[in-house]
Amino acid sequence: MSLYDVRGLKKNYNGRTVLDLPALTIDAGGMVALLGPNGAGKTTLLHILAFLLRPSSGQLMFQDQPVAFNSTQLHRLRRQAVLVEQHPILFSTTVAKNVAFGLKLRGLARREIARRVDESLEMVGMRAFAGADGSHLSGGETQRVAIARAVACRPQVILMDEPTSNVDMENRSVIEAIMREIRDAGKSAIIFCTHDLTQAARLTQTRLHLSDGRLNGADYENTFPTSVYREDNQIWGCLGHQLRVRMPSDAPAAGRVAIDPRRIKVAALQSDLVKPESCPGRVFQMVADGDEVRLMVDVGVPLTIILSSQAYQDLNPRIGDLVSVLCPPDALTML
Amino acid sequence: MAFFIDSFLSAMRLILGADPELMEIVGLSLRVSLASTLLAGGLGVPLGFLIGFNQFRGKRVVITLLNTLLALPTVVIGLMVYTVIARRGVLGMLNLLYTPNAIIIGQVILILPVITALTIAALSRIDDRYRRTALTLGADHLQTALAVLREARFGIVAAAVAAFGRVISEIGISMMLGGNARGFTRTMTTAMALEYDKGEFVLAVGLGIVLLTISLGMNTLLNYFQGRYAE
Repeated sequence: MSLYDVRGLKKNYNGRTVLDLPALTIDAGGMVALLGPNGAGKTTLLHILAFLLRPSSGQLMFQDQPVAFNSTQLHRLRRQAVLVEQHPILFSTTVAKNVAFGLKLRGLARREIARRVDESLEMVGMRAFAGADGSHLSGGETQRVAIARAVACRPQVILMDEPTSNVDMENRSVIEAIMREIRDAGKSAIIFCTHDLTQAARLTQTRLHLSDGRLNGADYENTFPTSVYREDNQIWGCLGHQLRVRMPSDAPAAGRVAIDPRRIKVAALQSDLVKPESCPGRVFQMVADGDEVRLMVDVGVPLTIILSSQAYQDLNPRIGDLVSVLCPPDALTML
Repeated sequence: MAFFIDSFLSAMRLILGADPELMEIVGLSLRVSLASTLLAGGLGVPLGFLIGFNQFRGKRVVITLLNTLLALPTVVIGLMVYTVIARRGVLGMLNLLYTPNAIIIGQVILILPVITALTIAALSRIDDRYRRTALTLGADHLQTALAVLREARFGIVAAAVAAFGRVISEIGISMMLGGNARGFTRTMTTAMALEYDKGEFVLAVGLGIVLLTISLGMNTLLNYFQGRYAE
């Protein structure tokens, strides 16, 4: 049984389509990352999946049942899909009462509520704050309490909107650990959105890429605005200050280009593979991602390059190394 | 200056000695004002909530109308209610004219727009995330409304305090609908006007001091709640 099944779903604002999903299926259990730049439609999709926002057209199925957004009983469905906002807000009462809010709505017994509040706060490391005023917590603490509030309800799915975008490094690793714990406990699936590719890689293998409200294949990670110019009878695109790429002859004068991270050629600076249109870049991050390695290279813009284990071993890069980067025309897609 | 000091000292003696007439007038004023505030609150808060919480066609027109009604003169309300409850009026058989209930009806009409408009204003300042959070945690429409109302509670209490301050100090409605009958419908403001007409300033000054003290108390409360609300 799938958790969500989307068919021809669109969301329009003021005549502009911000989300356009012909088909999408999200399976129950596990963790799914929604990736994409700002304005890609991630938050809109999360709000629709949380049954908080009515799509303009199309159908959403939840656990194989069609969702009636005009139903007066929608709150019963919402109890299965709890959203944790990017900037969550706590009711102006104690942390414990905040966590108990959803449980009281579900009519649980007082003892069960106390047990779940305790358990959830313990999970996010906020048990000591149970009696504290929710409005006096830091951003990271608020985020953790908001997650506890969602976890306590034991929904089928917890939807998280950029859960670590506004917290410090310490809270970021704590929240990621909490997300792993929720996933491993298996009681609730997690769908979270982020534009941090490495975070998504750290947390899950199931990743959906959104761009301009549409689903892209997982290949379109490097999306940049580009300006196009002609030189030596060739069309070139300029990304940032350094990287230039050979564009297809029908490329528009300006637009956005996506570069497939698996088709980018990377070589040591002294290698024979370096070509005139190659560009030097400095390795600043490396993350293991299943059988592959995700290399982040600064070429004026942060470029993600995905290497197979073999290619990684052959190159053997280290953080800070200068490498040569080449984006061949077949790696480019004009958006 | 001696006249003022004499009046003031005599008035203080009346207050400290708990003069029966003064106490009766103050008691009636407080009872009437409290009743009208509670009634207007019972109507105005839900009404403000309905208007503020929901989106509907013509909402801006309704809010503009409400804001216009904030400036409704008390004598106009007095006149309107008089025509309804006077012996020849639609509700003449209820014998409401020149009773405390008549004053309460007029005062409710006076402050209903105040409480409704201030409730709408209080709700408009509540972060929409409270509504979304209540919804996503599984609240139905009423439970969501109550959760948001709870967050707006300081603003709503401030609205009630402001409304009470408005009715305790008004004179037009009390005079036209109450009739200023001694021991029955005489409120602080109508008694002060009468004593002034008679040239008897001691009771008027005494009532003035009590009214100012109540106003000070109300404003202190209002300040407190507005401060809590702004946090």
